[in-house]
Amino acid sequence: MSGLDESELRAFEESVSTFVTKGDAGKSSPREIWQSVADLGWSSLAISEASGGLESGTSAIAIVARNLGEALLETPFISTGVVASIVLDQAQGSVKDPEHIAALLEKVTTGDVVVGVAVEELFGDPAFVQLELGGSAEKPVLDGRSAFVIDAGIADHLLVPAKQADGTIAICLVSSDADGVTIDPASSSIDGRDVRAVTFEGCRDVRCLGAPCAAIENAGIALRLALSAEAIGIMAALNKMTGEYLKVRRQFGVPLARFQVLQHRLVDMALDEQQSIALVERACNVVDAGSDDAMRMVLISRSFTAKAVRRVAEDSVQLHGGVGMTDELAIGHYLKRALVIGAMLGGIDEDLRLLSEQPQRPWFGDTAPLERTLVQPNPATV
Amino acid sequence: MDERLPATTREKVLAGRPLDKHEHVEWHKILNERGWYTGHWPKSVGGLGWSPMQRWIFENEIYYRGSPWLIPFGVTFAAPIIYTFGNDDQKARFLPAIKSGDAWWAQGYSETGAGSDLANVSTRGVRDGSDWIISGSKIWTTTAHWADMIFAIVRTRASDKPQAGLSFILIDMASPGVSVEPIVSIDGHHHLNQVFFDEVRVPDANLVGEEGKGWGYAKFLLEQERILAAEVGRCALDLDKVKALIAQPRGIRPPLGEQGIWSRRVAELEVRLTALESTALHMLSKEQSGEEIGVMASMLKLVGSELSQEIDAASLDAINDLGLSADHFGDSSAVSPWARPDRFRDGVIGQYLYGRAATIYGGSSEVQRNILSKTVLDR
Repeated sequence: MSGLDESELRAFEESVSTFVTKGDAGKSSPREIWQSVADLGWSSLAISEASGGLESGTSAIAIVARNLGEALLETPFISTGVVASIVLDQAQGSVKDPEHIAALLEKVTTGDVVVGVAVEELFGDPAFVQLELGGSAEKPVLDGRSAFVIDAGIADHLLVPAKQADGTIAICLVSSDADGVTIDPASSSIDGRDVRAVTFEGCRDVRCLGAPCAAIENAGIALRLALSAEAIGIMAALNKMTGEYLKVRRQFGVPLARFQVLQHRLVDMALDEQQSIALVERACNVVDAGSDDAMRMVLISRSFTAKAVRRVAEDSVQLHGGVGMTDELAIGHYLKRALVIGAMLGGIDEDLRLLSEQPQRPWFGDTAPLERTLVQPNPATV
Repeated sequence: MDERLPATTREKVLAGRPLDKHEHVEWHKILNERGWYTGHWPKSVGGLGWSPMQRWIFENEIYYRGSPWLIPFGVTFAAPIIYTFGNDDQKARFLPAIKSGDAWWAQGYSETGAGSDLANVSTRGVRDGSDWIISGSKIWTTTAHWADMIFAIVRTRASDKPQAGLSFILIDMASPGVSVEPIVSIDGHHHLNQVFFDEVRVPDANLVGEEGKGWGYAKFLLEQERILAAEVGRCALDLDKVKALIAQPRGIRPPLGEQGIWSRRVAELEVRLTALESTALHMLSKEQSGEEIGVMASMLKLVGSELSQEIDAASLDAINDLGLSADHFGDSSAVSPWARPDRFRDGVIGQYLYGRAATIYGGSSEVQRNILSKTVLDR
């Protein structure tokens, strides 16, 4: 991805923020918001210029995700605007009929098509893939149940991985109204996101996009960064609301903000937010520069921000006291979104496990001094 | 417990799902057959005269075995104030229905302007002949929508000191002018309410003890209740649930418990729960030998509520596959023979969410630390 330069990003930031706060986005349906996003041209941030997209890099994706998070808006950004865009774009090279995919991408760009994505199976352990792709290469048949398909309830197409007879994984694109596709009537997510279980029974209307490849890895990177950025937006909203509440809520004859113990708590919450901002910004830059350190920075970003946003959300409930426990206030809804951000893609523990498997890298310079001495044989034992 | 706790009730408790009023009353009446619901009342008022240690053993045993929450508002909060500070007429009128489970009570303490600063209540009682006219509102009143009676601290006199001039008054929820507004909490359920009093007429015979001394009675009660606030039995059950959750395979993946980080996390929670239990037992035996346990008992609520939240968080983290959504690969029936797999997940999430209130109600953790700091600094 080429990425926008600094001044372009600043201008972009301003227009996204204006869209989210000034518009009446909060009252619209996920699909209506998505149409507005597309009308502004932001539905194709992750699509390459060659395919008619903006190819604006993860920094721009993070800006959109952060603003959607701050406003707690429901729209198929991470499914369609991030994951499906990247996977479909890069799949064009490996399918028989690239013109079909190109036509689909154009409809993604215009906002006319939403793609539901089985993110947990797509980016998790292949062992979790529950769908089976049988039949022949010419006439594939899809069976099984996919438990976590984001935005399936409002989608025109579904992107799901399936296991083939030889044990390998194939990425499948299925029309959501095809015969043999049953989408659960209700969302199973606790945070208001559209997440459905989808059952496939002898579904023949399947387009195989080939095996998982660099496209999936790139989509996984962009998705983790989008979740991290969403977490930052949530922290920004919660810290603002909580700070304002402590200034107006009076107990013992003074505003709560006068109590030092609460001031320190607010400071800790702000530190979580600030460190997350810095981390995610750096990770986006590293990814957009094409550095081989990208995955490491992405895993660090998601694990840190997911933990930080849960801490901030829990503290926001505590500092709001009884009203923080009510469904009426947004605080609890932010908390639920924070929990889901931390639980997706195998959770924070999975990020840390993958991080521990990343290649060693020196903190400064080209080599790590300690590593160099350690590999030297101990003269006493030679 | 094994013979008499209704199976559906036990199933709901173990799955972390809320009970209806009938299920609570049914269990109350079963326990009352042996006098156990009011075992801690003195014999002179129909109790079994249990020592705090006996009550501690009873409560921890039954919570650990899946007992519903013993609704404290009548039996444990209102009754001791009535039988300690009330007159014979009040004892005769209110205690029998509290004991039998025929009257449901609610607690009218917090107000919108009086949370941590409880003494700042503004609900007013104005004398009118032999009655009091009550106006104002109480908030966070758990199960007030089921209540027949509410006890409230009400300002009956202006005073320089906010704690003075408050009275302890028993109000019939059926009185004209009483209305209940539901408050839905972040777990999506309706436990909480706001109760409004619009010139509600209450006879003077319902004012307990001396007019203007209500704060002292409420404080007396809180001191009585501090040791039980640790809820070790419930925490122990919840910790066992975590152990069961991490012991089961997740689809074709190995159980979380096989990861060192998880077995260590659970072991650490076990260490901390045992430390809390030991502290409570230490204070109970001190109390039993007539020693003054002092304000340090507040630490039991503080430590207990924070620990229970961490146990709930461990359960939540143990089910975090598939973004916490209700559908999942693993079968949770192994968690408990009574748990419904499809609902257990809801139970874990709901319990985590509602459990966030534990460090807010009954004196927030911040208030508890303020109280404790005075003692610690005086040492």
